[in-house]
Amino acid sequence: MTVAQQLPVSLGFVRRHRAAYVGVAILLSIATVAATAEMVLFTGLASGQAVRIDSMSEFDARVVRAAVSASQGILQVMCFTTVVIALVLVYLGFRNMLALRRRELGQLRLAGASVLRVRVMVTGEAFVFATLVVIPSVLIGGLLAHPFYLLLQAVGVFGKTLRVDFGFPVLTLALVAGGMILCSMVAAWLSLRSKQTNDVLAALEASATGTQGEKMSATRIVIAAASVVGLAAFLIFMPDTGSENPVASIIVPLLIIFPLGALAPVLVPVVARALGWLLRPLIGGSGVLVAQRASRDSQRFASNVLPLLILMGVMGGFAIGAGPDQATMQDDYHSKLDADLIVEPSSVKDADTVTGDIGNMQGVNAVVRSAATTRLIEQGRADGTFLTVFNFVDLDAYQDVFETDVTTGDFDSAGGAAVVSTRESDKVGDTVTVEAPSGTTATLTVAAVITSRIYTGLLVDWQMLQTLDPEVWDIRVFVSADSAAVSDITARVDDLAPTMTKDEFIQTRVELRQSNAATGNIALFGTIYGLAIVAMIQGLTASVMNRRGEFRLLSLLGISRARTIGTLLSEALVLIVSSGVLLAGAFAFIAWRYLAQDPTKMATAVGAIPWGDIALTFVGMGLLFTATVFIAAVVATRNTQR
Amino acid sequence: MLTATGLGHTFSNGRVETLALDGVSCAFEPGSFTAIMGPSGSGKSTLLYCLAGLIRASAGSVTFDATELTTAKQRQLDLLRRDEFGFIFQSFNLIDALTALQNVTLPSLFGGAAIPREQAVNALANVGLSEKVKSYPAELSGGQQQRVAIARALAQTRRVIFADEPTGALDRKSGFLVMDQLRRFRDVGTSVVMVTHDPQIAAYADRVLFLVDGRLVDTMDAPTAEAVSSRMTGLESAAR
Repeated sequence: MTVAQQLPVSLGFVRRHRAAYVGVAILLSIATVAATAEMVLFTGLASGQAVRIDSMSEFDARVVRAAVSASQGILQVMCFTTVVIALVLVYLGFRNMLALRRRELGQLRLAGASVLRVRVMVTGEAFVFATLVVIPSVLIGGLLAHPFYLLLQAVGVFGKTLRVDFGFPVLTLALVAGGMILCSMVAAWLSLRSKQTNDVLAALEASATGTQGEKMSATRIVIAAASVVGLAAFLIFMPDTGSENPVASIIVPLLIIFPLGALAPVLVPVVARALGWLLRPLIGGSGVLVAQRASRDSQRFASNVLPLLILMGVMGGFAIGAGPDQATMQDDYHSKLDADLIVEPSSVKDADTVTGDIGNMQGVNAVVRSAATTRLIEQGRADGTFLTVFNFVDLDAYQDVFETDVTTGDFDSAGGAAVVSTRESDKVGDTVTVEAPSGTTATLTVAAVITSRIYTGLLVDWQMLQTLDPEVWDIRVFVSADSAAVSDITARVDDLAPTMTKDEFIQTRVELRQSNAATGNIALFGTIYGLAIVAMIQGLTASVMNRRGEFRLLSLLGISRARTIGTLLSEALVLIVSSGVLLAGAFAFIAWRYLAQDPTKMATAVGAIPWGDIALTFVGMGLLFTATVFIAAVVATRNTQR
Repeated sequence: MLTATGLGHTFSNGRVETLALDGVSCAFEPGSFTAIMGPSGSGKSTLLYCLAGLIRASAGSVTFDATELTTAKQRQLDLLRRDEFGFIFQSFNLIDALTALQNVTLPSLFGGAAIPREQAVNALANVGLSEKVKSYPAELSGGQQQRVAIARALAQTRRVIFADEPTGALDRKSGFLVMDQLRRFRDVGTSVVMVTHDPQIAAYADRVLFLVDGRLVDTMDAPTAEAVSSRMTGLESAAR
């Protein structure tokens, strides 16, 4: 068949199924725009050449490049997760769309088209369709790279001073376009399983009732079972990677959504079937219908809820992954900070003044100044390895205010150029040469290595601030004092700087941590959430529209339109509750696996997870799910009453 | 020539097995018009689909010239459907997205002999649809849609036409018109094998095969509507 011959046929198909095509087009377009924006961002920052340094000193440019390099890991994760999830959702989109066309495919086979010919034809259509969608989407994605970067900057992924000129990276755009078109073709090819086209009669007859009749094959059940056994073994026997690992919030969502995705075709129908029977007193005969359909239509049930499982799995997994880290931080502040008052001066000079004013007051036990910076360049380490946080503190009084877990070395010997490190990889005696903006260099020697969740990086003696003089932030003065002295100190420094109690300080740290977690969640997974919502709407709509034959049959049997819609809503309810049950099970297992690593912190960690937000999001998604089914049902049953 | 020998078929859903055909043997000469009749569940459609290679029979053989359909490769069956067999079903099986003309030329898109536009237009004209060339199936009546399906079979030289209740969805007038069209196939040497439950429609055939419980129980040459009706009444009474 020549292209000229196929074109009118393909155009006819596209016109006939324009609603389904529009759904996949929106999904593909969003996935492409997101992937392009992230890839342009990633390649631009990875090269370091895009970083604009016109108004910066050479020193600032080097700091910025180091910061940019440090962000590459996050960008890589974002690109990877976006592309993988986008592929899964685009595949589901194509599968749903092709399920609508099953009768047509049967008719093509009846007219003599071979299975291969049908596959080639549909894949060719996917190529034309994807090209039309992907090319403009790639251009839009390229244009959106900068706004996307500004969004990430706004939520704190990049420093405020960083300016980047992304230009128009033709090669990157071409790669993304080629990749997405190829992925669409592969998705179309894979979606058109031979089962759908081999049996001509089944394809022709299935459309009469709209039943897809796609039960899970034995092979897929074996693969899914093997996946879950392997995963369970991994989760149970894996070495303790540390529940406080910051990347846990990225790993845990993957540990939830991959097994749930693999097992959805088995688990969703099983749970839906059980719920259908259980909810029978509530939803009547619809429950029985759902229960019976669950075993016959497992693939459709699974694909309907997969976007919901992905969205909630990622969100919940992130929250669970971040929980222990937050709990540990909270515990450490409570147990290891022995300050009764925290003063927050706006400058180093004010911090010195406050310390001078209150240092000798009666009832004051200890005073520790603290200020942080990343604006020092470590020499001897390649830019981009990591970005060290330098915490300038009064080392001589530090242990009077902060309980310290010394791993190696002698904390008391720290001071001047002798520093304390919180990095496990550092050893006593290691030297770090740093360069200040002024060009001044200093060689710091590690005197001790400690474990700390309050400070990360290097603890450098406050006196070194005068030598290096970098820009600093988070300037604080921690005061340990008798309760009687606290009110005197507050009154004395009130004009100079705000003060807060230990509990208030911890509360601000917790709120900041939660705020960072929320923005990080959106920055990392916002694209996935958007894709999942679009995929859910598109998939549900296609799934309901695909059952018009069944609705006509029900109408012929005297079932009213309202009753048919009610049955569909009952089915939606069962699917939502089934998803909730599966997610709750997955969350409980993962939470137990991660949070139980340190039973003493478990209660705090569980409390640190925003269960209310997760539940609220699930309810919101459930409402969207129901509304989509309702609207699709109203449209699909419109012409069945004759 | 199309021949079935000792044809048997059993449907199974994993738990229950249903015998649909049991040792059916019959032959279909070129230029013959055969109707298959029988009570509901007698295996009429199953026999038709086995003869057409749409179902692989569980037992026996179906041969078309030198090709054994029960063991033929999928590609061989595809080619038979594309080049040698034509299908006319109760549900028309037209592709909604294509015009009447595009539906007629559809088989040639899959590598079959080219169907020039004029030839396709003539095929539609022969079934009285010259004004409907650019119409979509949704714009046609049931009888017109069935005639498009016939035109699709007419547009190329087919050696066997399989028709499954071709008039089942049509009014009497349209049904008789369609039967007149089917007779034309026979006149140009094409075998027509048709499943029907209507004695008046069966009377258009040269021969009627009667099936009961998957077995071929009788044949009738030069049938009339009355004779077929009488025979069917007898078979249905016996079946009860």
